[in-house]
Amino acid sequence: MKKSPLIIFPMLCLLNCWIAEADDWAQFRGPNASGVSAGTDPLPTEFSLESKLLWKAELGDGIGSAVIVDGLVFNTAMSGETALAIFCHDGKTGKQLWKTEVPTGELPRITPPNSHASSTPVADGTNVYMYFSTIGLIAFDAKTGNEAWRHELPQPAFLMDWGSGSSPILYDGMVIFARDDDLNSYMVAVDAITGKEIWKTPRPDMLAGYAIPVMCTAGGRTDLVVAGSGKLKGYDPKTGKEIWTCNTLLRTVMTSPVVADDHIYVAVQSYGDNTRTLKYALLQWLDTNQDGKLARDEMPEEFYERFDKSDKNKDKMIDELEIETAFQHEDNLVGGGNTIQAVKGGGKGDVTKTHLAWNIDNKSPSNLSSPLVFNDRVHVVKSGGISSCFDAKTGDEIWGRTRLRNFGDYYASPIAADGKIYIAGRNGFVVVIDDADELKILAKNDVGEEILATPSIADGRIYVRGRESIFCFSNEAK
Amino acid sequence: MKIFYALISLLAISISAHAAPPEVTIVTGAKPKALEKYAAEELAVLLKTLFQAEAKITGSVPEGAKNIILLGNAETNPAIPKSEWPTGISDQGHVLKNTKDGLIVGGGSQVATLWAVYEFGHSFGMRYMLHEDFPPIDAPEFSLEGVDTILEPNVKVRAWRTLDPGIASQESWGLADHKKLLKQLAKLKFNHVVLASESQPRERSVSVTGDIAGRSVFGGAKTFENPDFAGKTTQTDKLGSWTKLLIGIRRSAAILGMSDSVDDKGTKILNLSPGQPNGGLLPQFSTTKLAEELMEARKVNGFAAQCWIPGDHNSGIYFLSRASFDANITPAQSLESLVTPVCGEGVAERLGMGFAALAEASALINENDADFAVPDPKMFMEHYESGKPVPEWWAKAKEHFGTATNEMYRGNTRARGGARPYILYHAKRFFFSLHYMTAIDHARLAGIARDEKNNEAWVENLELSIEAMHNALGIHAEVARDQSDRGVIAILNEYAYRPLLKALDETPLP
Repeated sequence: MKKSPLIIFPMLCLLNCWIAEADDWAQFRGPNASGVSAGTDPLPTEFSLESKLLWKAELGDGIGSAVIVDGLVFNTAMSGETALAIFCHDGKTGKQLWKTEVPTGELPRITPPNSHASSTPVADGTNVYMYFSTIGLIAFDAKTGNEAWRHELPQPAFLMDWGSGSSPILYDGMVIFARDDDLNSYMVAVDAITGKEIWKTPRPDMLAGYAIPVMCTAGGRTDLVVAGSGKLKGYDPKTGKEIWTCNTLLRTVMTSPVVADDHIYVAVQSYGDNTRTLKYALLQWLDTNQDGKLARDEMPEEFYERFDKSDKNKDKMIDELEIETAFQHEDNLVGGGNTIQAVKGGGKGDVTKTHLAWNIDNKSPSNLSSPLVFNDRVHVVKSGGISSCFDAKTGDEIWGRTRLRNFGDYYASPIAADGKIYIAGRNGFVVVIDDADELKILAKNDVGEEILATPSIADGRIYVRGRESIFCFSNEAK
Repeated sequence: MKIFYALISLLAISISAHAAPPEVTIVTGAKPKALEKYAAEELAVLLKTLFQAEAKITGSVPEGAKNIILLGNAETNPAIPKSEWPTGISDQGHVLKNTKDGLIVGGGSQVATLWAVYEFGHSFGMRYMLHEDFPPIDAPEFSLEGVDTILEPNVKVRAWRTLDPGIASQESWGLADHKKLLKQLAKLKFNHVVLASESQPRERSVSVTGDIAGRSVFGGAKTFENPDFAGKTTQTDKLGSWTKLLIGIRRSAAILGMSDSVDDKGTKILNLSPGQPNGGLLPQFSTTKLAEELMEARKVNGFAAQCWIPGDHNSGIYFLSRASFDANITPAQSLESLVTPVCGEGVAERLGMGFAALAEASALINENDADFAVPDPKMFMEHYESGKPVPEWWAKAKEHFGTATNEMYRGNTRARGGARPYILYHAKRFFFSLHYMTAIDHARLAGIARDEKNNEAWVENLELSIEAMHNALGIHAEVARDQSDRGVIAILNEYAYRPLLKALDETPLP
């Protein structure tokens, strides 16, 4: 059948649009937060400050990742005691195209090594969108850096002072942001052009967590999937209404799920075993006088109202009868542990018993670093530089916990492209392993600066956001 | 309607009265000497920090001035009536006294006047620590009334020993670091510096390139050394830098009213890590022990406080500072006084329990292995070489370090704000110690496995030892603030982390 030019033209436009976007890395961990680049350009295996460094720029303190759209690189950093900066650099030359500073107001308490500039922006060809704890969501014109809109949100509250760390995504003209804290968890979608709220869905059974929402298409339906305390949930992205829940997760979920085909993969570790509900942490750390009860002045101020509600007998104490459900939802009293699991998407209602494809309970997953699914293998890396790999279809172990011999903490999640997997350690070394059935370390590259942010890949370049700087490595460099 | 306007006016007056920062006049003598001038400037800074007050420094009392502070004494400042100056004030005595003419903030000498200024800040909750000042967690209300104190020392010489040998000692500090520290010591009323140095600079530098732990603290430098020696390659240049450093310290001390000497000037050396005189790298202190030794110092000319890692010793230094003017203050009262204004209620209690646990750990170490964690090329790897299990007392020492760490974190949680960096420093130093001991546990187990030719356990324990050492140095790096902290990280990379990596490389794979 001969296609008419009328049909071919829009298809070409779509194709062009796809090509323009194919190699972008528009949000945290790139396309659908997968950590897998859609690009095919060769990437350097070995690089350092002396080799393959295309450019480097000083930014300031920050742990959000770089995002890249249409060759523009966007980063955030703290630029003063109470100021946040958003940077736009040319991806090829490193030239700073614009920098916009935003006053933040008084900053909340956070726990190092978290940074106030912890959130990764998301961008399209029009705007770059970001979240900041004292402001909410803000959009900037991608070409000029001028503020386009802001959608204010109340500050999150963290019982243990972790601080904020969630990042927004873009889907179907909406900026979607899941903000799980210890007081008032919710997910919100706002119009990407105007910043006006489209829907807001409370998540009252969630504790603080940092999972980024992902999209999963299964059975002809695309769901918005969010991991949180005890539950992986699917929502209708148009309305924010919950469609399904899989109640197989743990108390604290800081890692993000990834989607491959029609399955959602989660790997997470949450401190303690499955009996360790939140109350144990409260009694260990917030009960500062160790009398086995929580007094009001042992709580952060922002929790006073919740405290008063939880103090059922009004004796000004949260005692042993009240503490279990004082801050953790009574229907979701999950504990800690380890899990790597695959959940089939497309379900409805409670899918706990019907859609869990496999579930492994071993000591492989990290509490911070998200899994990577690449070419049917699930990779996880954890503190100590310990790598494990599993068959994505079956959950069978391909290799068990094996040291990469790059020690220390791992906050960044692995990313992949060009047949290689890049794993950045907090110590500033990026280990490169082969995409193969056996663990083969190809290189250990010294960036020379602490890395907490997950690196980004676009246009044949690897962007490594160090604690203070952004480094761009590419074969284009000498 | 009149009532309405009256209410509005009252409201406006009340708002403006609330919003306007207080104005203070600091009156010095007509020609104040350098140290009194500095005291006046420091007082202005304190007034701004504590009350947002705008202070004007003048040489006489301006007409109609309110909130007057009379700085100095009746000899140096004519605005202070002789009748108001207390009798018998020594050259170290200092006074805060309300009079009808204003608040007298002065001392029997220029430097004592400077101390009076710091005592004024202290009385409103300012706490001076070795690296920074912390304002009170609850802003005090502005008032110059009700402040009445006369302080006389019961310890005449309150000396700080500096430049004791060691890569992690103040020998690695540049002049800029020393100057900053001396300013803090002046706030704590130290009045003498002992330059425990040799006439020649010692060779002290450690490579900090490549795969090392906690390397963020070195900011990309290739070598850890005294920053004043950077790039100095010839002996002449090094000697020049050393001389400049010594002279610089002496001058800086003199500017702050401190004397100096190269010996201890008849004082008792007060090691802030009692029983650990060789510069061990772990936090070891006990204010109770220090209090006992201070009793001895009172019998002689005074004390010379000695330490290798100053960050560990804020509570000890504060105790010495306060107890030198108040013989009755106990270590517990001192800790309460140090912590509560800047951290809030309930924190000192947790810190006290943590420090008590640390004192237990210190005592165990001193009793069983006084050279434990004292820098030496063999300090770590001898454990690996020994092929012996750790001694029994270790478990208890580790438990104490664990308790101390937990209590610091509880204190930190309770504090919410204020002087949290002070608490976190201790928390991470104690956690560092715990990891350090774990690293040795595994190094010893690796040695045992090696001797038993159990390759799997050999490699596994070496890896666990490296991991623990990496964690130890990484945690320390999170709170490293000075060259001593960086020195600890540098030297343990040199003597432990790198040799462990080498040992792992040389170990046959299972």
